[in-house]
Amino acid sequence: MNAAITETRPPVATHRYRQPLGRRALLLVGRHSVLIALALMFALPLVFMVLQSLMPITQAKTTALWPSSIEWGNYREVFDRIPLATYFVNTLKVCFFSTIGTVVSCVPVAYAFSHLRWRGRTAVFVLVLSTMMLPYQVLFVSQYEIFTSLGWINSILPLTVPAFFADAFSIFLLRQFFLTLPAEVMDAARIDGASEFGVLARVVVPMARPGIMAVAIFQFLFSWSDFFGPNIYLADEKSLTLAVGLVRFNTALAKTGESNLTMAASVVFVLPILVVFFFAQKVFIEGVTLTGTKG
Amino acid sequence: MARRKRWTVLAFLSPWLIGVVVFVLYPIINSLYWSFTVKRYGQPARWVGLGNYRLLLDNPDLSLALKNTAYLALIGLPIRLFVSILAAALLARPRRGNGVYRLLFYVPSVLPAVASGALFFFLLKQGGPVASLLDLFGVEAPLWFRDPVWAKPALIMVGTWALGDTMLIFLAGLVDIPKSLYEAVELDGAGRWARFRYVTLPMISPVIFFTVLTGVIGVLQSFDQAFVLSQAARKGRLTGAPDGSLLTYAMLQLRYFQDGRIGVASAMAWVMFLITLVITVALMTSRRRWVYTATESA
Amino acid sequence: MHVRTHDRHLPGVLALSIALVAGCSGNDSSGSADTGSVSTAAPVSEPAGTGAPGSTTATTGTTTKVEFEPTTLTMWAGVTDSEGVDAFRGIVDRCETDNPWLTIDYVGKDDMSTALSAAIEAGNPPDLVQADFSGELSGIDAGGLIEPIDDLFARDGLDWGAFVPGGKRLVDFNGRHFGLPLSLDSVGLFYNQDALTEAGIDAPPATFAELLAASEKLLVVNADGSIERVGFVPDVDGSYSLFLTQLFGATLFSDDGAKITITDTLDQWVAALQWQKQFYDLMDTDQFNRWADGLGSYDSADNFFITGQIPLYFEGSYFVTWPDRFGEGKPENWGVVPMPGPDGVADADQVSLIPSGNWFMIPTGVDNVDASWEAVKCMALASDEIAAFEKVYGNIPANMAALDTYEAAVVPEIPAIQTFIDLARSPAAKLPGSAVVVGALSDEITSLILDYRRGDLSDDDLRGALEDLQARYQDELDLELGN
Repeated sequence: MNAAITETRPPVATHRYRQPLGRRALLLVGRHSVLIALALMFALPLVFMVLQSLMPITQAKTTALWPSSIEWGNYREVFDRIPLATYFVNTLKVCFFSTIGTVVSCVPVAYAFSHLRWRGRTAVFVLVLSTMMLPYQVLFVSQYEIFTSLGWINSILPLTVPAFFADAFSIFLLRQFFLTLPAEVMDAARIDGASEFGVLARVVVPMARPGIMAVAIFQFLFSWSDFFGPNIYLADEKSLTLAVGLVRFNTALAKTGESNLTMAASVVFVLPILVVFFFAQKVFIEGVTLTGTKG
Repeated sequence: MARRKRWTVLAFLSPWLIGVVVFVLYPIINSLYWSFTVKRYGQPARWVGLGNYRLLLDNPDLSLALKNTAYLALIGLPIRLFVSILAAALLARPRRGNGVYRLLFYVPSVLPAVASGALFFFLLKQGGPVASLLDLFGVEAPLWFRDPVWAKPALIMVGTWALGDTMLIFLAGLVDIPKSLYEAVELDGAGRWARFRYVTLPMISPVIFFTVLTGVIGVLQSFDQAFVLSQAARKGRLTGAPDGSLLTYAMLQLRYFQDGRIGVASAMAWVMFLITLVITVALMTSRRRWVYTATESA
Repeated sequence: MHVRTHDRHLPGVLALSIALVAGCSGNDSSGSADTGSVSTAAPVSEPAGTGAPGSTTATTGTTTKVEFEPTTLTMWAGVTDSEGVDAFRGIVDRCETDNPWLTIDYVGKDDMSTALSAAIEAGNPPDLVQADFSGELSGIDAGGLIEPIDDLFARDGLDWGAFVPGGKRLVDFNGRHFGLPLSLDSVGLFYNQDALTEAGIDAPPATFAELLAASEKLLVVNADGSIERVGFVPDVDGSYSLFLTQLFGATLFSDDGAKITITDTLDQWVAALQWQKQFYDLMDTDQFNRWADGLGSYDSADNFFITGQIPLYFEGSYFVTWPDRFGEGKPENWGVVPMPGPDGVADADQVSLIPSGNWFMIPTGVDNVDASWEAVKCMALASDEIAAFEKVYGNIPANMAALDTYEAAVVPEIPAIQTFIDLARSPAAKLPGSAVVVGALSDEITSLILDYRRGDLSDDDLRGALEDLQARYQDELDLELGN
């Protein structure tokens, strides 16, 4: 069984090397110029944000696109004016627990909906899906009531604990990834005497790493940028998250027109997400192909 | 089913089961009950039977909102998914530089709707960059968010631009595909298209199923983008301007939320629930024809 | 991550509360005698029994100061940005000093309406709230969300004369008062005198006829038909077209919020919308849309009033800082006059339209209403601190004494603010009505106004559509109120 998983084939499509060098170079240039043009289009807001974040205040009030002088001091001022470190730690705490919780709780549930056979599976799965079909606005007040009776208001518990009890979105996504895994590998493991938990931990999880990673990224990003939850559930200034802190900072800046600082704060807010995304996608895309394939 | 097996299934399901009982069931039952009542927060609900549902049917804007939402689901969603698959397919290989491209393609989806909306106003406004570009070709730029004909296509454009989430799902699906499958069809002399049609597409069909269903739910429940963009013509009010062309189902629901009319808003939520459930069941039953699963062969 | 759509973009009044403005720099005022003297006017109250802070007995005539055991009250405030919070601390500190038993735990809340609904439904409300819930009073009344303060007010022998008339109306619904006012927004007509002079107009328009004539003269259309400059339009991208119908006496609701009054004031509605339409009829619709679409960002040097693209602009008091802040002194000569009233003549004493305001209130179900009331009372009367706070925050104080202090401090720096102060002081100050369907009806009627303005509807169509709205929303209101 192990052989089946780790069996590696050279990830090389040999036909590429048959093309003449000149044509290859041309294709390469063509491909990159298309991609660069597209990527620029997608990254445009970030470019604008960074450019404006570096402008002096007098220029930030105009519609100029290029900074007349580069003011790195804007970033220092943002750090001086809001307790970024505190917010950052608070946000990381929420992100960390909710992401761990989501992965740990959703993987077994998704496994039960994909590779365990039991009566009523489809019906129960539709039930899982149905919990996504009501908008948050009609549910949150009742949830607030539950959290109040649990004594969780003014703590990060409402933002983290529910993540340990599997949400429909993540279960659904994981299940779809698990479905593409070949059943024979799992059957082989079962014949070798592995328990269902053993099959999940040693066979399914390693093979479904990209899917699990995607779910983790989504949860992380959701917790990172969630404004609604922290604003409702947190009271203490020192317990606030970046998303809430940023909105308050921007309200103050809207009065003074310091849009350069607004942009600098936004860059500080968005940058960690992009860093996380960059490394996460590198790990799951390049990692997988290097360690081999399944099937 | 053996007794031990049953306990195994229950153990695996337990996080969800406990979570539903503790955090989800009560809010769901509450909202169903409220949909048959007049309910304001802080005040007990008063039973009105089907009163809220009747009120909704009397609202001429309901059919408009449903039509707009259907447009976004039937035209916007397929475009978004198609472009996302394309982007993912282009970037799935671990080529040099692809990591950076993936990152850049992802940028718009981490920005709040307000920020991307502001950018599009700037890009698309009269005398703005896009208008100047079109002018070079002698084309007069449309009024986008002030023209009922162009508002929805422009909204779809903004939505497609923020495709990072869907692209990420497809990327994860694509790297999951065993190379051996490609090699097998290559031996049969399959070209690029055949490889995509006979290997890639079936292998990511479970993921497509996911993006279609969550996409439909998203279209039914989201209003951020439409609200921000309809502000070109109207600040502050939920008109769906221009000419109601951006009035979505969720925006109509927001009209009741803003007044604290939880009864009517819950009724709308349950109508939305039924619509989504029907679509889900339809997709689930048709899925055997188009969704590939490795397990259900037996 | 169940659902990613959160209602954090609630429209309407919230937008106004965000559009706050730094006042001006300058002398911070320090404590005064006013505050103390008013709060000592509070009559008797016996120290409470064990544990809980005292409950009061309404005994008229006596003037003992209320005594409480040390109490910490949680206050939720809509002011969350650091500068605003710092200024607000002045008010809080003042009341903590005046009431040694009192500690206020200040909690800033964005999206107050949502947070407060949840807390009240869960039976766990904060002890007091500072917020802007204008237009939501009927819902507050119907839901029993906020304590009416009339009994406490009378018991303590307070006088509404301490507040501007509009401030009293701000917290008034159907004869009951849901808290004490802090500040008012007020709106006026900004004019760019340089542009007026260039168009041969000596003074800002003071009548409807002059306003229309000025708009005609100010309009500049290029040879290719495109528009260069517009005179006056009821709203550019703001939400004032519905608001301005009040100039003609058009109303949506009866005072008790139980009746839709569109058909009662049908002629006023039609007149109001006809009046608005004539300003747009001066221009080609498509060209106007193109012009509006090409306008620069509001919070920038390209703001249309700064660039002179609109020399006559109806806006709230906060806008007085725009020319300096974004325009670097442009336009050079500008000022503010009141909008003409129902008879077409401008007069601050006759017509003052207040879109919204801020006040202090006590949620239903708090532990100790009397303690919360003492805090509310003290803060609403802390006049010098309020004046200092509003200077930062840009609205007009609702407390008479605070308004005097504010006027003396701010007018020398920004003369144009005087018009807004006069408007806020006006005994005729008028606030929009309230009913539990106000948001949805405002949304629909705004759509209708846009349709009519575009020329999609004849006057008869307009009447028909208004009558339809009346019938449908009266049904909705009856269902909602159980009538």
